[in-house]
Amino acid sequence: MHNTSDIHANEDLLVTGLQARNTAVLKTVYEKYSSSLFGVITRIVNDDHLAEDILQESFLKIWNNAESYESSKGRLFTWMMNICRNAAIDKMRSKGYKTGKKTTSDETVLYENPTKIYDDIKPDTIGIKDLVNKLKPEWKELVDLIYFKGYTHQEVAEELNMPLGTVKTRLRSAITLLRQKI
Amino acid sequence: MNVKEYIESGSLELYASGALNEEERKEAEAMIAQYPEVKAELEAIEKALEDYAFADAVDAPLGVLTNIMTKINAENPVVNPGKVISVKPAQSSQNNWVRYLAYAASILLFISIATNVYYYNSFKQASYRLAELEDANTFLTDKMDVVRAEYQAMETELNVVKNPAAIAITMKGQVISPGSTSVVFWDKSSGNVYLSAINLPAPEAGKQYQLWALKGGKPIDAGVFDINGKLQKMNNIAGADAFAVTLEPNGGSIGPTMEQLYLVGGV
Repeated sequence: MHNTSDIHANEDLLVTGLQARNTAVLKTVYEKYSSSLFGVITRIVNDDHLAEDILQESFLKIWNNAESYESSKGRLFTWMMNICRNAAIDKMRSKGYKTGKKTTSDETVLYENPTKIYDDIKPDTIGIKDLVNKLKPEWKELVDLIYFKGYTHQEVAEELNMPLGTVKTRLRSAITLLRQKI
Repeated sequence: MNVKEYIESGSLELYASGALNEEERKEAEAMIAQYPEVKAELEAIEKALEDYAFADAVDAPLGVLTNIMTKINAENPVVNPGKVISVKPAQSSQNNWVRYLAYAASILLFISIATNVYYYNSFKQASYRLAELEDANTFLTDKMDVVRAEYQAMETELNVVKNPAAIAITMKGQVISPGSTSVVFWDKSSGNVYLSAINLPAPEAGKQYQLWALKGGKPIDAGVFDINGKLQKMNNIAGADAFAVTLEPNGGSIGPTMEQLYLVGGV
């Protein structure tokens, strides 16, 4: 288990390397984060080939726009994840796919994917997987919609027919539960 | 809004999820920048979401990284082509002036340096030449002094010979050295004696020739001399019947060593 300062030091190094256009650092970033990011993309895009294209495009964006990343505004992963998620959403819209706004159940998103790494879960993630499984399904849905699929809380409130304040409170409760593992 | 309230509101969770609108996002960024507690809270939220995403990670197909690297290498490290295009021409006209100025300055500097080098070399050559000439001049002056001294010596010799009061006495070789000859110039009125040693053999080490004036059979010391080919001034002699040369120990003797009698010449 790594401590917080290690994570910071690591991330600072990666950011510095990326902004200095060090390709070796880009490789490290890819090895460290690509599976998480590809996981995010495949939640939105139900097409292996297209998801692969989006991951590739997103990494080129990460590479070319690394300078615009500001660590004071958030973590590196959050920034990269936003790039991937927005690219996936844009692609779905441009291709005339349904953006998934109507699809609120997990089945339509978590399709069977042969490359899913259930057999290769890193020790770190076992705890969080248990926690995720313990999340109330409606809480999990809330996190997935907002975090992974890029819904705004207004959209979610509309979609789930829920007061805006409740969406915010529930999202906080769900994430607070996820934080307990850390 | 106080910090605790803001943290409790759930806005940071929405910020971390990228779900806030422009206005809300700016408010969140201001709070994060201002309050370390808010920043720390955001970090924790982001880390939780990051771990959540990691728990649902899916390995990307092999070859994606290779494709990315190939594209990056092909594109060259240009951050934003639009930016580059918009910036370059704006600067280029200004840059051209600066560049031409720089070229012109470089050329002028080069010419200046070349000229300096040329003149410096010329100056060095001239200095060197001047030093040479000065040396030559000094040499010639010295040489002239030598020549003048030689000339004066010759003039003196000539005056001795030309002197109408002087008589020349030729001394002839004796038994010990029959082929030798020398001449004495003697001015009876002044008593001056000059000797021209013409062909005496070189004396052995520790010995010197000595000239004697003979007056009534008595030898008078006229001084020792070396063989140097010059007319040599000897001791003044008031009166003499003859002159003779003997070989004596260095510095001469009080009386002549008759066994070593080389030359004799009567007046």
